[in-house]
Amino acid sequence: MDNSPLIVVDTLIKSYTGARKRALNGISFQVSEGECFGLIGPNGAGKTTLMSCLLALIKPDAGTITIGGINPDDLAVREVIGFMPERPSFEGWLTPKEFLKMHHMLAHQPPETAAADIEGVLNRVGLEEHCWNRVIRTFSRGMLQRLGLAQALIGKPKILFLDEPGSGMDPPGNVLLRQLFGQFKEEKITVVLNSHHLDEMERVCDRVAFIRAGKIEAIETLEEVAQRPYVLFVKWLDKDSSDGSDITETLQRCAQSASATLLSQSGLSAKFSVVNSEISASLLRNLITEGVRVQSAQPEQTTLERLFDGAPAVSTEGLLSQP
Amino acid sequence: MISKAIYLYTLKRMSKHYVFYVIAFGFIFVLPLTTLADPNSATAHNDAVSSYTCALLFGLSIIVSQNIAGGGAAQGGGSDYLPLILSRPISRAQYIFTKWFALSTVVGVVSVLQFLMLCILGETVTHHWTMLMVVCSFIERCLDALSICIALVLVSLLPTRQLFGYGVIALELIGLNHLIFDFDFYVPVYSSTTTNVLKHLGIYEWVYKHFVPLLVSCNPDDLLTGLNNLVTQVSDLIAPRFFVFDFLTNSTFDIYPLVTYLMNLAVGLVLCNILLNWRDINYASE
Repeated sequence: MDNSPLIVVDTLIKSYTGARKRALNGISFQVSEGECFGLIGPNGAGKTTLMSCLLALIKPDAGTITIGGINPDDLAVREVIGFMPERPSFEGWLTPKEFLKMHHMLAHQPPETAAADIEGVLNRVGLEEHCWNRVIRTFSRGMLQRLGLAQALIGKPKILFLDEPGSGMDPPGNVLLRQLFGQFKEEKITVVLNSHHLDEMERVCDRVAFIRAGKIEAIETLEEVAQRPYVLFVKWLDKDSSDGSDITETLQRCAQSASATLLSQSGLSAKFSVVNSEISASLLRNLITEGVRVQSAQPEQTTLERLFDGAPAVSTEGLLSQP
Repeated sequence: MISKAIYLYTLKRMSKHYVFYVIAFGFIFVLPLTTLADPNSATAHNDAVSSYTCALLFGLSIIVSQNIAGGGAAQGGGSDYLPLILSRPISRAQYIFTKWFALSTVVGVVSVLQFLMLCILGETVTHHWTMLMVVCSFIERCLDALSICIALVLVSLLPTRQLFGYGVIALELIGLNHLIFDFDFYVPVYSSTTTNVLKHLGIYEWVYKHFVPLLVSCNPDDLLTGLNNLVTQVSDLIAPRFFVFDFLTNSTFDIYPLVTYLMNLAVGLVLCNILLNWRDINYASE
């Protein structure tokens, strides 16, 4: 991956008429060439506004955006980008082939390659051949998503702006999407991805920006996010009745020894606050050593969900009494 | 300046709809037949088949039924999906110019065909038109289509469906002004025909004898003439006209009408550009 910043966003501010708060409130970040950069955050955080600004569909009130050193409004930028909106509203009276032909022309691709390019991209997104000459208005949501992706790829883009590409896709569609992201990486295509499918984001993104209330709260690599404190949910099998020790005491002792915190215990399960995966491993080792028959242990949130909740408080006050 | 893709697909979109053919048939074949109804009547040579009314009403029916230039919030609903198109390497000015040209092509062709039908029906013979007048009329129909289509594109680009509706109503009023009031060239003539039409309206007496004298001190006739002048001036500003026959046969070479026409076209296109550039294109909201 080339580390030179391809997309540079500096102190972006955008307000909508009548809104009390700014949609974007001083957002700054950089995206390197070939990087897959994710935007996550709660609804109304400003992700779509940010995406619209990157595409020059919306003009920011203040701040600058450059893509390859030039303004995103420049036609030279639009020669190299592909965009897939969240809820594409395609021309329903066209067939996928006609629709893609229009965008092939709009993307200034050579007419002689149109037929091959269109078929290639339709195959690439897995839209079945019998649908190629069917009018779009008869398509399901998942098929529309595939067509939207094909449309974004038809101009052979160097930068892709994808908003919820997996929305409405069936499981094979999601697998295909994952494969496509792998291909984008090989082809050094820069991707800015906006999605609520955090598990997918975890698989494909190099870095993610967590946006809340128009501000970026964190920009981290997946490895960095994995180092954030999280809650570990542990289940064990029924305790050996011959062992007379109190399970709560055992759990607390194991947690203290591993620098973790017991948050709660309920029956044959407990929640621990752990700072990182090393602590988790240490905690589990201690539990097993103490004779707790651990059945399963898993983080309560996915890696990226930790960004939504922020770091859980590491405090001994979280211990709940045993029911 | 013209995007071939947008031009071709706009034409294709218009021609795809069967309503288009029904309306076009009405304008080309049915409306001209009304001139045969009573050739001696003052209203026989009515404005329903005039170049201006034809272009305005046919164009209106197209933008209302097909929303060709992405009206409302431009989020589909029969209109172009602007966010996708504007993410492509075409400028907003190019988009507007292409939409204008595509709409003008269709409106111009229908208007010219309507005039051809009028010629076949002998309308030009009835009014003793010379060959030059007929040729000039064909050109004028194209020029009218170009000017009126700017106003139509402007209305199509309004950011909300409500504003789009107001724009359509405003254009309809201008069309009605042309239909009801006979006027020739730039000088509106408040004719007895108009008075007769108005007298058939139920509230005419009340307005004429009671309301208008109370409201303004002027004569109701003057008021109506003034209003008509105002609407005509506004419509000429929004969609200017250029009379080729007058231009060619004028005893003195006066380029002013041509300059006015071209200037107004330029102003209309600039207004469309300002409107589309001013708008935020929110792709994720209705």
